[in-house]
Amino acid sequence: MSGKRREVLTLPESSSVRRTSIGRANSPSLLSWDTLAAYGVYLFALSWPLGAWQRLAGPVHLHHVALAPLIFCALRDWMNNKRLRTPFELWWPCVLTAVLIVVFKLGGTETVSWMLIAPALMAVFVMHGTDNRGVVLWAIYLSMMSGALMLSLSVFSRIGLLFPTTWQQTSGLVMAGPYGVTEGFFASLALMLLLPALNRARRAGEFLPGCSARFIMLALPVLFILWLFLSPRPDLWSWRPGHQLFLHPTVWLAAVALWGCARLASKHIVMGGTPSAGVAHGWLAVAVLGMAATALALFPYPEAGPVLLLAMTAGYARPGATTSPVVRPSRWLLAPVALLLVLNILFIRSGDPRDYDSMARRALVRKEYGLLRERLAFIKTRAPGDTRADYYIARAWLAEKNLPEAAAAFRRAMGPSRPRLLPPPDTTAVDAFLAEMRDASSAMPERMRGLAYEQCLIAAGRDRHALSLLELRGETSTFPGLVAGPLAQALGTLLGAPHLVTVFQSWDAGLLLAVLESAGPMNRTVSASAVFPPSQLPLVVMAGGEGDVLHVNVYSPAGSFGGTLLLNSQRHRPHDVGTLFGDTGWGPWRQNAAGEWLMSYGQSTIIRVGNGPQVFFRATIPSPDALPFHGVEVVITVPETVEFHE
Amino acid sequence: MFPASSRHHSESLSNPLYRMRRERHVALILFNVLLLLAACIQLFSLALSHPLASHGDDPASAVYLEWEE
Repeated sequence: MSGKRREVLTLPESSSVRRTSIGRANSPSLLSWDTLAAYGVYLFALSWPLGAWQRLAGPVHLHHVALAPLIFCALRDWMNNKRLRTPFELWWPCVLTAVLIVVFKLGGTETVSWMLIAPALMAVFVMHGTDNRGVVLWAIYLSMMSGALMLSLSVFSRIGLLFPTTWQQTSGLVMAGPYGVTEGFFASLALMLLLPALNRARRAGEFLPGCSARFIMLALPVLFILWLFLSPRPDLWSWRPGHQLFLHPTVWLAAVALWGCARLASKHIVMGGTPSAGVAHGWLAVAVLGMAATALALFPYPEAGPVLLLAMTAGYARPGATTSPVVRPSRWLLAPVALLLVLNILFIRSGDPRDYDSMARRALVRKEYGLLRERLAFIKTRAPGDTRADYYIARAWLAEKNLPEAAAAFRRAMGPSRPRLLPPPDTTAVDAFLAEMRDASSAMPERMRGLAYEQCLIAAGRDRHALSLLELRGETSTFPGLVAGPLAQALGTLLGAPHLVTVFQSWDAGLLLAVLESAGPMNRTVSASAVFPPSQLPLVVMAGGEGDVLHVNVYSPAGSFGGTLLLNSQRHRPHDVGTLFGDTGWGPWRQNAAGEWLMSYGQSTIIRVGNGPQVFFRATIPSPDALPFHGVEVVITVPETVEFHE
Repeated sequence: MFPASSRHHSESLSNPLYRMRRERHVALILFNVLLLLAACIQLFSLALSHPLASHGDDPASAVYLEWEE
């Protein structure tokens, strides 16, 4: 760089900028624009690998702020000299990329984002600001420091000490810091590809870091291998390369980017043979080509960090580039990075990737219910005490008019909370859900709506409202010989309200019968045979599935009993079971040779009423699909003498 | 890693125009290599996407395995 071109900014002695920006070596007495640009590059390099942990507010991150001096320097040089220091052969692919994006967007293409212009232009500014080999090597080193920290945080998140910022549903990989697993994986690989170049410069004396450099350069691959070792082994299928590269319009952008990478690598290869060559040209060329090849396989979103790495390496290949850095990075640069890291880890602000509240609201607006449930299910595995996640699962089921599942999730949401990420749903959210549930329930036929709304009311602590609604379901009439106790217990279980059983026992048996019958479309009342043991009547059998669990309950005057069957959905595949194993649901009563009464539920359960009632489960269960539906099916057996309306 | 073949060659590279031509020449070769690599990766992806390569997820074979048990 010629001395004539270097602009000098004089600052007063008391300036805080001056105090914080003076380096240890080559400390300039005046703060030059090149020094500012170098600090911008250092801050950018230090902050980008930490991704979400460096978010200031909204979409603004610390590395965006670090770009400001680079942009300012470039604009100032452009105004003074009418040209940029970025080599023409490297900036035209960046500008062409930006122009292509504008053309595609104006042409109505939805698959390309306006945001892609940002990394293309950023590359031009970074290439303008870095024409010093020392600055380039230091910036790569700082990125490695932050990359190693990001990987160590990812290891912590893998073992559950820290909640991840991103995860992959298919492979189960998690990372703490990046916004995408693919992007984080690619960034780690890119940094490791630069390791040999940095090591070569260090051994040749071109780059003189502190004694911690060897540790950092060793820690990066070790942490990456440890993260891989602790992560679940993803199948090849989930890592198959995307095919978007060869589709219009991505193919044009990819071709220009590939040419840019090839041109950059060729500069290093050719510069390696000149008298003014640095020592790391060869390894930098390998790193650039390696990054391009890895990007072809992984197809990550072109984030700022890897673009910075590529653009910086261009500065190393400048013919007039000097080896001594214009300024060495100050330790003060660590302060804002560390502060933001701690703040973002400790506090979840709006826009944080862990803020699933905003994510859920967006998904509900976009009607991505299945995806929302998948993401919330993952959050529940890491934060089982977060009842707000259950609340949004309930909202997703309710939006799909699946009232039993919505009620079950809402009951979990109203249960005891031990929040790790977000507090439990507040009264406003509960009221909104209940209003939506009431409307959805009212819109359904009476036999189909079940007890979902009443279950939700009781879960929210509004028992009186629920009881008044239940009383409207049937007429109070007396059935002689019908005991209310078993019916009250069954209703208490159905509603998830054992504390209301004593209230139901004071109700008329006819009303309880009507409520139980109206609780599900498959519910029914049957007359017992004349020879059925009268001491067991009325007998209520109830079976309900929730996830991979089957609950069977039996209530009779002789007592209540039941059991729970855990189904192994991993082992039993849901295909074709219905056709192989026939009808499901409660069958009719039948008598065996020993005179015992049997009633079976699908292929899985048999109720036996002999001297005492018993429930049996089959040892091998065909599949969770053996359940007729994810709700409850109730059969009430009453004495033959009781007259009821079928 | 990529040493100059001779002193004359090194001195020629000091000439900006010669260096620029050489860079373009090398870049063209590298660009074609990268394109070839992209094609190979896409072929690999296509092979993975083929039903025969993913028989573990095929419902028919899953039922067959269930019967074997």
